[in-house]
Amino acid sequence: MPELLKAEDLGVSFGGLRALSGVTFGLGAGEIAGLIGPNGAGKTTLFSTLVGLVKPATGRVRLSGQDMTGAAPNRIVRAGMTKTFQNTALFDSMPLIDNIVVPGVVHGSLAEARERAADCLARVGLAHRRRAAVGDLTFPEKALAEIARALATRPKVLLLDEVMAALTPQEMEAVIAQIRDLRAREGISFVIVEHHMRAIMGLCERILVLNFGELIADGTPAEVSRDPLVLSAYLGEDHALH
Amino acid sequence: MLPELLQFLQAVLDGLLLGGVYGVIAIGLTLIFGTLNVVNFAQAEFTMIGMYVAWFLWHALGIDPLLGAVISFAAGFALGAAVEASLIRPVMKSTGAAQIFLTVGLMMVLENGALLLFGSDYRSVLTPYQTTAYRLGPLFVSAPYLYAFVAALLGAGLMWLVMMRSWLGRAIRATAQDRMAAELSGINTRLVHMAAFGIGTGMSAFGGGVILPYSSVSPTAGAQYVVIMFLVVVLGGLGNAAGALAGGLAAGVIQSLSGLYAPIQMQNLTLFVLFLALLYFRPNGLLGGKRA
Amino acid sequence: MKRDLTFILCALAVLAAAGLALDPGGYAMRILCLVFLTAAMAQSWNIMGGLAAQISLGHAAFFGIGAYASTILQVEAGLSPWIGMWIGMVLAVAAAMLLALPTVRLRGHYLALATLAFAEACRVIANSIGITGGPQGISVPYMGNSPAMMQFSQSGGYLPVIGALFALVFGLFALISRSRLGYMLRAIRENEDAAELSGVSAVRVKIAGFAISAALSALCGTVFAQFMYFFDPDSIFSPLSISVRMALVAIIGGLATLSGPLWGAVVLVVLEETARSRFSALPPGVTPLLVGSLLIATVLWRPAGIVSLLPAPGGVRPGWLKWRKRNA
Ligand SMILES: Nc1ncnc2c1ncn2[C@@H]1O[C@H](COP(=O)(O)OP(=O)(O)OP(=O)(O)O)[C@@H](O)[C@H]1O
Ligand SMILES: [Mg+2]
Repeated sequence: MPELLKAEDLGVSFGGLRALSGVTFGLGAGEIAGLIGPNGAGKTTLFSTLVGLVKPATGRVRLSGQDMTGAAPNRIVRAGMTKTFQNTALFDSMPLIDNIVVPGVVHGSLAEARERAADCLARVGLAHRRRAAVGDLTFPEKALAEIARALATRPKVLLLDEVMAALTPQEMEAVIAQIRDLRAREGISFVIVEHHMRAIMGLCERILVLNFGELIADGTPAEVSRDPLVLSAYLGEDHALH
Repeated sequence: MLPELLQFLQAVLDGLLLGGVYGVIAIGLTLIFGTLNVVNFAQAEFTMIGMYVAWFLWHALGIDPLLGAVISFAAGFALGAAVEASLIRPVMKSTGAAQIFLTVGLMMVLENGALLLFGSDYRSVLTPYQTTAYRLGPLFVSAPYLYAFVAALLGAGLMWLVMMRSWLGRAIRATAQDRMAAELSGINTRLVHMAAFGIGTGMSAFGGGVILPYSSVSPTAGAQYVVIMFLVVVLGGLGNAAGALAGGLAAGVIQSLSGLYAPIQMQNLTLFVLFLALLYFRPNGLLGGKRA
Repeated sequence: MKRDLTFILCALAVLAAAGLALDPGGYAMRILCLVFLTAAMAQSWNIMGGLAAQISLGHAAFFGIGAYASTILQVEAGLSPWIGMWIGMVLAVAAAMLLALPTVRLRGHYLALATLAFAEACRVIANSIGITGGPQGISVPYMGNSPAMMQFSQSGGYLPVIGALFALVFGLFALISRSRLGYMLRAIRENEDAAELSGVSAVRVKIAGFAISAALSALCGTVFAQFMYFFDPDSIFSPLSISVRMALVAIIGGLATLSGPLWGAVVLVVLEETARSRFSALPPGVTPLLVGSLLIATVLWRPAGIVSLLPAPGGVRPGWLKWRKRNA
């Protein structure tokens, strides 16, 4: 089976800083992969590069076999991959529901977009907040709204950047259940950045580890948590691997 | 020597002399952008104010505008610092649009304030060197242009010294680089912003003073420098002071050379088209500046 | 939608009632025409400047192209402005595309600078070529009272034309604002990266918005030329009295709102005309000084403009002008 997403030798630098170098990995349809690494490892940068917000200095990005390197983000999104923003980037002056309508209007009528938006909001459990102003949402609600907006683009690959950071354990469970359900029913693949180790080790069947911009491990949670390279990368970090 | 070649060299020389002044006027704009990240659309009005200050000093006290330009700087500094504290500071954290329209409003106020105070007359000065020209081999160097050029370079050099050597300069550069970090290391960035804005408007006012011997001042004197000033800073890279000087020289030479081959109005057209092309191909300037 | 329609119909009703009551050749009629024409100009700018926060300081370029196109076609070929205005709109859209090429990827102040330079380039060109009449300006050929040539002997004759222009521009704004395009324009305004990651092509949406905004500005230009009879490059391509004014009226009234440009136009035109007629002894410069101060005051204290002072059913959303800068 051809891989849905393929990153080959991605390299990015900001001025003198090498934020990513030689990152290569693939993702199959319906796969749920976790992306972990210490602060500043380059996880967000990798996501931004995959969706075209950051242009890589080296390497290629392929989606469904198509070369997407250097393509405008909106093209990549329409080809089926999008990401959420770690610090959330909602459209502040629009009510919540209108935020989720935006991806829909790219393809179809306003009525269809509204229907889809309501559906996506309900999925993340925010249906009761649909008329709320973005400014009135709590941070966890904003993170959930990010997921809803990303879902409204009808993605095949969804890159989630620390959406569970501020959630309560119950909310986290609900999001995890939702991710599993989306994979089962719509075959969506996920790459998930999360610092909460237990959540990510339980949810993902595969873990990628990024350190100083390099992919230092790629394997099952069990393999990765035994990997000496990974252990030394996390040495002195406050996140325990169990 | 061939007459065409002579004409060409003369135009380059004239352009360089003109461009030095463009540079010093634009340095103020670029310093303000580099430090406060604000594009001051009213910047050229400070050049106009500097011209008036120098004119009145000449008219009332007989002070030569080249000396009066120092007072122009002081006036531009004081007014600019006051403007920063009262008008710019409240919109520092607002959208770019708020900053654009605030400074556009300021431009209207300053230009029309001058019209109210001084009327629409064109005022110029008389200096003993007004019509003097030096011979440089087969070329001519007009004295007022030469003096203005030298004064502009002196002004720019002095500013460079202040920026590089003084405590204030270091504080301004630190704030420009990372306001938060500067704040944490004990710099009062509010004061630094005020000072940087003041120096910026002061430099443009100083430039106004030194060009007075070969130009005249009226309330719209600033308006004619608006686009050229922006061209110069974009040429050099917004936020890059050395770039502004180089950009000024380049703009002066281009303007002067295009005068050889095109009618006078077309000179400005060359500059505008160049400006648009530049924005397209090198939005961060030829020499690279602070990122937009 | 219903509220928008009510607003436009009310404004037109006021226009019609005043049109019937006022002396068609009188001064008040002229003011009435100017108010609605100014409102239409500001609303054309508001499509990009307000909805998408793409700040142009060069809309005089499109406005002037519209004015020159219809006037030159009438002078040179006897063509009615009713036809010339279409050509003006097409040319303005072409100019907008030409401008979009270098500017569509620019953000914030770079866009403002580029549009400013573009309008200045138009001014220089119009000053130096023959067909525009050069710096001496150009006059609309005198036809007497001739509706077929969009020319009327009294201001009152223009009122239906200006009313139709107002209805068109405001109606289109209301439609766009609530359409798919409107959602995409606002998304770009609030966060261009997030808009892209929602699948919105910022480049295409901006070009579409600029094209519509430019075409409507050109239309206003044609009507303005007919109303004024005479103009020259420095006045029609003026950075302050056209480009900045279009923006300023929208801001003072209320950015990105339907009614804002009308309120802004009322305040601005009445202020200007009162100063001109009542206090003609005032030295020149007082009015623009006041207008500049009004702009500064709006930015500092009332970023949502006049509409935020009016009782609004459902409330007005706060103006985006005062929002915090992002990723600065
Ligand atoms: N736009 C940028 N310009 C300059 N440097 C950047 C930029 N974006 C990220 N960086 C730098 O690149 C490195 C990687 O940052 P990135 O945000 O990708 O890390 P991360 O793994 O997502 O960290 P975190 O866990 O804190 O979210 C960091 O050193 C960061 O400072
Ligand atoms: Mg991150």
